[in-house]
Amino acid sequence: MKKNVLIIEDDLFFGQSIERALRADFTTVLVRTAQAGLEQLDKHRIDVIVLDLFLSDANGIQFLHELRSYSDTQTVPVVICSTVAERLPREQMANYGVLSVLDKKTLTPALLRRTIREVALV
Amino acid sequence: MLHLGEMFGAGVAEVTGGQKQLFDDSQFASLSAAAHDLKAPLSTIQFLAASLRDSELQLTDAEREQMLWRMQLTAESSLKLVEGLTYAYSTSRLALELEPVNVAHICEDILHEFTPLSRQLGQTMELKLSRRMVPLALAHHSILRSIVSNLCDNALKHNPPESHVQLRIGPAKRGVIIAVRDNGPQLRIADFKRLKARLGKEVNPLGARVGSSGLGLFVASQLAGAMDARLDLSRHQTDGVTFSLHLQPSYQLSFL
Repeated sequence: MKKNVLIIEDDLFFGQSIERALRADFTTVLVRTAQAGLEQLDKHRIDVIVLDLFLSDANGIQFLHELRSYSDTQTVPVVICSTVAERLPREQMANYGVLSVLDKKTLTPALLRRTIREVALV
Repeated sequence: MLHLGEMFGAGVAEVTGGQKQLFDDSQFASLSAAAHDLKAPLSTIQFLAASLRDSELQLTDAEREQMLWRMQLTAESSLKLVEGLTYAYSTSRLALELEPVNVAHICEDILHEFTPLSRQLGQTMELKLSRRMVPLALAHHSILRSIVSNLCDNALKHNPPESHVQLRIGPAKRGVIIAVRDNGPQLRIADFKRLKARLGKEVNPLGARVGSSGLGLFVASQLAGAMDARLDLSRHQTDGVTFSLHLQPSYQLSFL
């Protein structure tokens, strides 16, 4: 059975490209806001979250705070996918349960697939 | 809690040891915001290009065609922003020559130009003309196009899929109004007040709508000011906001 990946990305073109890159291995759900992401977590069992940081209703850090405050979503692995990846303090990200930070500027479908496969195995 | 604003490195360009400062704080903020706003679409183009070359994806011809379209549309959208920035820079140094402009023609052109992008985003756009006669506006043709393009692009970005952007033109007490309405997330009143107060005064690196630096709106507002026009903002009870551009009327033709 395929694992479920929740993609929270407000750029529709980018989000659908992520879905396309993962479709062979995973079932994906794409949402464009943090609120919609939280709603999906209520509805489905999510195995990995791919999170953009700049969303239209909140920033990704606020989402992580919310996510980690609920007992049932505390341990869902998160992969951040951002244009400011190099500026994110790794230690703080690890405290938020972020397992990997991907730089959108140099991201390829192969790197994304590899990362999500690894994270999904954790 | 980590604040995303810290990542933009505000205040980094300090003068130390007699070194010349390349940019003042406001220029630096604008530059950081411009860099961020351009990194996002360039990353999309980069990832789409990488996807097209990925043999594991097994793309259909239709998918390839769609991805090429999206690369082109994303590039066009970024170029519009760069063009607006260039105008904003040059209009602060040059006196603008304003002329009588038919805003309906400009808006029809823009609507036509944005149709492929709105389709790719699963949205629709419409132009609504007032039944009352709309006078010609006093404006700079290219700059007015740039402002309205920025507003439409902003509306499409904030709209959810299967929603609608409405472009309205009507006469005002003293001039012409072009309004662009979206159905994006509702602005909280505090964010609305903050955005309205800051409109045109500064770039809002992590503004009321978090995903946007507000650069497009900043550019639109600066350009509006250069034409003695005014950009205003109103929020709606259900969803979305309307940006209104208030232009001066041209009475030139009434003397003929």
